[in-house]
Amino acid sequence: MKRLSLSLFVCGLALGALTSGLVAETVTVPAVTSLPVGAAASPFFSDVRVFNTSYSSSVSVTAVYRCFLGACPASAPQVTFVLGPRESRAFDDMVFAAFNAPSSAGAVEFTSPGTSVRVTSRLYSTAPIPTVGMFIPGLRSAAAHRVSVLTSLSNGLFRANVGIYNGNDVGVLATVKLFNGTALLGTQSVPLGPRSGTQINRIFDTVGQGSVVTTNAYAVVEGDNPSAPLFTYAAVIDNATTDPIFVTGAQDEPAPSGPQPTVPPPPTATPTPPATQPPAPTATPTPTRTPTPGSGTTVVELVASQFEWNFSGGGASFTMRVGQTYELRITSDDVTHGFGGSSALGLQGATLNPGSAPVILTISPTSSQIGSHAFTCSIVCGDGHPFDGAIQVSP
Amino acid sequence: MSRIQSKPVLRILPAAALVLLLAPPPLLAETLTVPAVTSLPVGTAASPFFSDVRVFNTSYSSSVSVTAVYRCFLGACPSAAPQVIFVLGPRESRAFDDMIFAAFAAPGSAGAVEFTSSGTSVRVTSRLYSTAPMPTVGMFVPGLRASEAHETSVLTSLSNGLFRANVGIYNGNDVGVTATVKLYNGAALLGTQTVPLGPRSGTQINRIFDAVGQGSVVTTNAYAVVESDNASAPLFTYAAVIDNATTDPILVTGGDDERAPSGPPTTPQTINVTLTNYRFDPGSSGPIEVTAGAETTLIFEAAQGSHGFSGVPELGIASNNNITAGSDDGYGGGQPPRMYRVTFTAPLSARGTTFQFWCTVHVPQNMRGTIRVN
Repeated sequence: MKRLSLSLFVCGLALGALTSGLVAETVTVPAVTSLPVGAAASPFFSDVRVFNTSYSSSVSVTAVYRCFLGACPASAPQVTFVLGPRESRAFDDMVFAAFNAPSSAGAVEFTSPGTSVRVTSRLYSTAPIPTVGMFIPGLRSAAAHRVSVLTSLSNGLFRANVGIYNGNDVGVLATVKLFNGTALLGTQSVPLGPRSGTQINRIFDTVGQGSVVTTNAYAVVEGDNPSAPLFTYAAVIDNATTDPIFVTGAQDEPAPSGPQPTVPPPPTATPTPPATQPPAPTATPTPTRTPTPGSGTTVVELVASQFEWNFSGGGASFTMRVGQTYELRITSDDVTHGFGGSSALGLQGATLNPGSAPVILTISPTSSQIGSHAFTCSIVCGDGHPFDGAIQVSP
Repeated sequence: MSRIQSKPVLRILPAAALVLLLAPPPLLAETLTVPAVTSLPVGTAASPFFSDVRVFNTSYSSSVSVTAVYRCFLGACPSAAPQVIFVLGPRESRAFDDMIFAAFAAPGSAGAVEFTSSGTSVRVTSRLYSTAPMPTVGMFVPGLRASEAHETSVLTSLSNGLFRANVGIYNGNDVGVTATVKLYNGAALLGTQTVPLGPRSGTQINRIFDAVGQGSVVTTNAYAVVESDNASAPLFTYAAVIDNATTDPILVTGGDDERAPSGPPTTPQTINVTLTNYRFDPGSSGPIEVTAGAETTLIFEAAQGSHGFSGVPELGIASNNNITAGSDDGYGGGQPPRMYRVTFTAPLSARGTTFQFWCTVHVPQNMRGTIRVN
């Protein structure tokens, strides 16, 4: 009897502890931005609404901006506000108006006691067509997954960007695998810091499969830490209108251990030229990271920043010699840039996200490619555009 | 004897329990619902709309049989619910472009599609889009689990003016329900719509602001509450918020909401307000007292002069600039008096709040009053 009484007492204590204070809940909007005209190829903004479902209680909400793209503030800005019962608070262009962080992008975490807060948002562009946009929900923590799948991906008439937000206090290595039917098109691995994320624009281009035309692809996103689930999404954009839809990552099964599908070679984007023209370029983009280049391969770092290209610290121009193999490792130092590529050298374009793994392209120049080959930044990232670099091929 | 017989039984019971424990549990069926699908080819509607659907099997080892049933409730619906059954191999993504036409042969219609399968390995996504006036603009419509249907749900991010908002409801239950949609702007209840929904049926209330008689309201921060009259029959809800300039829509899915607290039944109230120079009575010397949740009718009548009423936008009370006392020309003619009659319901969230109003002819400095919500 005494034991029963003690058990009841302990249970009562536990219940009391549970009911005495509301557990905090965090709702995450995984993609927000404020890119005014001139800050990017297209202006984008996020209008956010925060609602309190309670009829009787106010609720204090702390919104923290986790910036990871563009001109991020040195520390995470935050705002705290109180929602009255049944109040809906509007935050138009929230990243600029509430966080004073124009020309940046990231996620926003809304933390409040209890479960009464609902968050919805629209991320939209005002050019070239005012307006087209997509609904982005505020996601509960259960919507983050160790492995998630993004379906309804398209390429060709559409393009697809894949986004990942790591809402954990530990860093994670995320791997994105892009499939079309049973074919694994390519893989990208991205290290993500705590409370940070990335967006891989034009995922088909990024994995070296930009010429694939499909409306039924999917991507699997997997973190390397089972206890650190990730929020994932895809923005699938109609190239004709720039109208996007937002596909939220759904829980997926972890791949069984064993042999995995292999990446097919990227399709040849350039048709064989007539005999009178120079031979087809031999360079082949390599979508996956290659930690150690082959023997005889020269590694060249190419860094984009506002507003210049820099080859291994030696300026915007670099000379390659015929017969030598080079591994170009291209990264961004600040905001999202675009490597415009060079069709004459067989170098495909790529999106360069700051903090992301380098885009690696391998090239072995031939005598027919002797000369100067300019490339540009293909994503307008500010008033300093256009800015060019060049690869010189010499005998 | 009984002891001898009991031994095998004792042996069999743990063995049976072990078999039960080791046997794979039967997979429960799960239904995913895409609450808004359509196929409206050119000529069947103001704009053509289509739904492209993708169905994916997350399993690496097992195929899964999926039954997709089209629950049509708008337009040229077939007499019986069409369905297709298909098998998804491991990791297969099946594409159904213009699914309503291609899979269900039901052009010129709209509704919901239910995807039922054993286990929980199926994922469904879709895009509902228009090809005119711009090819294409559209919105993501997810396949929703049963837990995403709610007895009461809230739809935020609603706009009107530069945008329009359509509210959709799908009743995925085998019983009929009555759904009530309440549209709010701030604390003001703009209006209410009640819709009976049959089993496995739904509706879409286009231009919800117009539907509740508030088409002139301009807002980007309204919300709607959708409530089922049957607590055990939750509803899928959504809002399509559309940019009028581009017809680009977004789909807001209904979030779980609290049910409005029940209180003592409120009876409708009518309050007569007399306007003189320079007073509202009641209103100027003491507030007009109204009860939250009660349908309230205010009747403004001028005892002398010409007046106006500024309205109280927070409570959904519109203004009026023509409240005049009648005139008598001595021959049985003259002008009749012009009264102003307005009906509204103060929301429960406005309880304890006092709102100001004034005469639009005599400006706030000279003639004003207050309304208090109790």
